Amino acid sequence: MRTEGKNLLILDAGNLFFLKLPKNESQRKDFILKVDVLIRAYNAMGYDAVNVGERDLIMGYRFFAEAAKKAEFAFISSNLTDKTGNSPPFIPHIIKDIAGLKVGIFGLIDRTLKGEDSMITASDHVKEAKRVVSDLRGKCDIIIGLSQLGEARDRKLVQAIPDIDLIIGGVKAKTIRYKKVGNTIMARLIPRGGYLGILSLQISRKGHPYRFQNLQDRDELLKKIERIRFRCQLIQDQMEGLPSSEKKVRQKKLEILKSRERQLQAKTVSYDAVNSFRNESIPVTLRIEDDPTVAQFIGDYRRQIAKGTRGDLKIKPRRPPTGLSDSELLASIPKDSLYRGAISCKRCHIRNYNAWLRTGHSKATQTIVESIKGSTSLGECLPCHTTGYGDVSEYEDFNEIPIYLWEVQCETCHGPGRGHPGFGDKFRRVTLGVCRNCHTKDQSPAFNYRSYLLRIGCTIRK
Amino acid sequence: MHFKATLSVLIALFILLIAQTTSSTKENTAKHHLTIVYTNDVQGEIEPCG
Repeated sequence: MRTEGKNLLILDAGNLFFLKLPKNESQRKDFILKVDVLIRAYNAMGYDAVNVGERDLIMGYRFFAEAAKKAEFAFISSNLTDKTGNSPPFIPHIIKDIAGLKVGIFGLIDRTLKGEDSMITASDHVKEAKRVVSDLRGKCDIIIGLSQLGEARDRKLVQAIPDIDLIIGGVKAKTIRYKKVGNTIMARLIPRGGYLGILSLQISRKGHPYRFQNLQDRDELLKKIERIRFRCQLIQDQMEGLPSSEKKVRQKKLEILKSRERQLQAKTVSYDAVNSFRNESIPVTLRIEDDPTVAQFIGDYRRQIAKGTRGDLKIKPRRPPTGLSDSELLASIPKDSLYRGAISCKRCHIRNYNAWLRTGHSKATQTIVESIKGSTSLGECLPCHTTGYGDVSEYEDFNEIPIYLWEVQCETCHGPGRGHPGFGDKFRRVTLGVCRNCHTKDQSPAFNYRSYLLRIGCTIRK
Repeated sequence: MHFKATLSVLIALFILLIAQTTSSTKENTAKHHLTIVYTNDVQGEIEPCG
């Protein structure tokens, strides 16, 4: 986009650094390295502003302030106050001069800042937003709010302050579609970096309110009109040489279509707005080539992590072959364990077991161990790449995983097998909800319940 | 009859082409073009697990 010479403004609505607190020291080190990579990558990509989110502060304000020193972009927050008396690592707003427009950008964080640091406080977001917007209105053509308030409060905010032209929001977004509240465009993406939002604004007349119209909606109407015209043309063509009774029927159809066309045409008139926009959400897939600079940062990060943890990582043999016989494997399962392992299921469900061996589930742990990437995300990936995580133990390292809990086995989806087969035992039916524990929208955007269920082969009856 | 049907398809396609040209011209007549690239809640996700 840069090479195309577009006037770009690159923004992040916040919660950039963390999902949750690190569980142990090795994860903490991993997180510190990640923050460094993210800041360097954002610098390289030329981000203009990043809002401070609640999760950016979970490692402490001091940590955040230190990390922010490396940023070449602005961290912004309009309702966060530094109580130390030092110069804070964020500013209340920025004004960018771009495409002949003065664009004011401010940021908001949730007032109920969890795990609040004694060095920092968040004030009322509506009050602060009103103050900052009234300040920016006189100086800027466009006002953009980066928000970590969530969709419901974003909506209330723009209803209270209609001078905000655009809100880029966050927090548990379930959809990637934009919304319009009054004249304000509200856009957000599903979390965890799976998508990139691109919002193009075309402005012919400066001045608030902009009343941006969505060009995609108008395009849809135009397409419908063209389809109607095409059908009319065909009907007219077919009418020639028909008996008059048939002609009448066609004529009536033609009139209905023409009336529909006029209705749609009238609707498009409302789209002949002076100012318009187009919003797109691009899935960030492997098909998109990595930027060489950013790819280098990630490569460095992997190598650093590998240096720290890989040395201790004892890669166990793949199963199968495990090097262990079935009876040896069975003997390795503790008698009181809630989970009995796929090897126990095999005794009665041999066809299902063999089908499972051909699936990605049967290689789920091995896959991440084999890739250097695996060692970078121990704590994050293990819950969905092993069996019984959280139930048996919350192992943090591959060394801790008992061999019978490697891979995503039968019990991951059907529930722990102790007591099976027996009276009253009921293996869990694999519903969409079970799959969604791991195949989340952000981690598995292509997930389709029916087709994935067929792929894992468990529908084959014994 | 066949010729007329073909002709009507061609006319419809022509109208479609004109409409699309008009639509893109409309976008280009704007004085200011600004593209906002945005992300939110990246949450430390450098490379997704699967």
